[in-house]
Amino acid sequence: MTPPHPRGASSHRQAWLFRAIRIAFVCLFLAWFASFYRSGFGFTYVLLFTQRSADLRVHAMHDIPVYVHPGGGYDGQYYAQLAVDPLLRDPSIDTALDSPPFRARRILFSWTAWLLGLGRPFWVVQAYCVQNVLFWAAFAIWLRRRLATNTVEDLLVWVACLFTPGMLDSTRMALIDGPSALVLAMGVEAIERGRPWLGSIVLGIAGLARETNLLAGVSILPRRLALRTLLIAMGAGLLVVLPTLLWLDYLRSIYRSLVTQSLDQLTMPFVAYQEAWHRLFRVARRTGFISVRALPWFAFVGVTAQALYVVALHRWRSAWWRVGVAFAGLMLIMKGEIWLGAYLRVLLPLTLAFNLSLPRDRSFWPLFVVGNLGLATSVQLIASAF
Amino acid sequence: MGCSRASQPAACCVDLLTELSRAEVRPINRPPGAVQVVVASHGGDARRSLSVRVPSRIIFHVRIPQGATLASALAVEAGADSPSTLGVAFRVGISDGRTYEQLLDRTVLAGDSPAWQAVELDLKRYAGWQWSLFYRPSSLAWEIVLNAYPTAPTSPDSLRALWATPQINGAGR
Repeated sequence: MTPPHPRGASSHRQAWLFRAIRIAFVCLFLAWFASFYRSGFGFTYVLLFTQRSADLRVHAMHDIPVYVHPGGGYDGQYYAQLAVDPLLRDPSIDTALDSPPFRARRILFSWTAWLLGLGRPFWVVQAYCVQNVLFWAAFAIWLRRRLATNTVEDLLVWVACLFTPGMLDSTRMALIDGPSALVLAMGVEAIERGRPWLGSIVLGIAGLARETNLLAGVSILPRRLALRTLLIAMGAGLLVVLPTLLWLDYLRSIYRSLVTQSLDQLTMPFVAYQEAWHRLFRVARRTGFISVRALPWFAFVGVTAQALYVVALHRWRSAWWRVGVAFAGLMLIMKGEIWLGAYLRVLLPLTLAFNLSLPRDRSFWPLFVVGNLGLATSVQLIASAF
Repeated sequence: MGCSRASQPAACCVDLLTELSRAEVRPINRPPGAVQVVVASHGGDARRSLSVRVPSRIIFHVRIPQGATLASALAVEAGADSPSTLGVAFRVGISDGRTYEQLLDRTVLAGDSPAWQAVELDLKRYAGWQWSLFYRPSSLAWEIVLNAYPTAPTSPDSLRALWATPQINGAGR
């Protein structure tokens, strides 16, 4: 029997080390999410129900105990209610939701929760609460396959994508952005691998999660101009928008002209961005840049660096580059309200495009650090839960 | 300007004046004569009209014919001592019992020129074939909602809103 090769043993040990680190991060995430469990209410804590919303909730949820927050609520409470009535047949949903047509346009993860809960309201609500974790786990596996080597750089990119504050916010408030980023990523990857039809179908499904995901349709644009590639791109583009158009048509049969409610989320380029910059910078400067209150400014700088880097790359042939540029463009025209916090979730595809495009040379380190300054917010989010 | 009890209804697909007896009227508790069909003269032009105290809401349950429009003319009747800036906000909406869409929001002041203000509202989206896989408006029972609100607090007897010959015209049912 020959002794194992020393270098083989070393790389084996290294593989185990990286695996152990990844498992530790997954455990950290699960432990963090477990801190949202409330006896008697399960994980409904993450829905952020207010008393008013709890009183007005859709009929099918009346007997389901939900944790009520004394302060302000957030959007998860509405998507969870859509999940128990995913075709909006019960008119009580119209008074239960803040903006029924707007919420209903983002129906995908209400449907997945309904399927996971087998249509039983109690289970559907529980499924909705935890599905962010399930999608996060799937995302971790997908990223692991994409970042296959056992290097510190790949490990850091893996951690940065999974623990970016947008992803954590999506999980702790039962929102749609984290799962939606996974579906988008799978669609873009299929296109990258030369499967435009499959990718378009997946991106079409992603469009049912968030209308902004339709921007990822730029990934099907042809790499070079030719009649055949243009025709494929046009057909694939139709597949991307078709599910959204069909669903909008269904919603129109209920809400008619109100179906486009709250679509006015855009403004003139740089207007809201610049306001956000000044607002966050003022707060950070007042605290000497060393307070928790300065973290949003660092996250903002990080996202800005991501956009600048992605645009500067100029890699038309890369599907992820095109998606990154599209979301960098969106960043410049988003309305002021989105800059109050939601931008880290809305721009998750940009964060992904940035991290997946990072070079593996000496420039990796400064780029990684500056682009992922938002991870400081993530550390604070996790620490505050324990 | 003068008023008298109404006589013959005008010919139309759906004459809302003749539908009034089947309509829901708000407020529920209202004095006699709060809502009545009259012939009102405005600027020398006499028309059969729905004369209502404000605020009021009248909900007509109707089947809307294809290619329909809702036509009426608006005016206000104010007491002699009412300021010219007092008026009525006329609002027309349509509902299927679930979604309410506002079709008209117009204010007519007591001091405006004494002429009927004609309105014609497109109802084509609420009947007939539509570019949709799911939206079948002809299968829905629609509610046409006529709202009238005072533009400022006022005595209920000093202000009335007039809806002249409100009717839904169309190519057919």
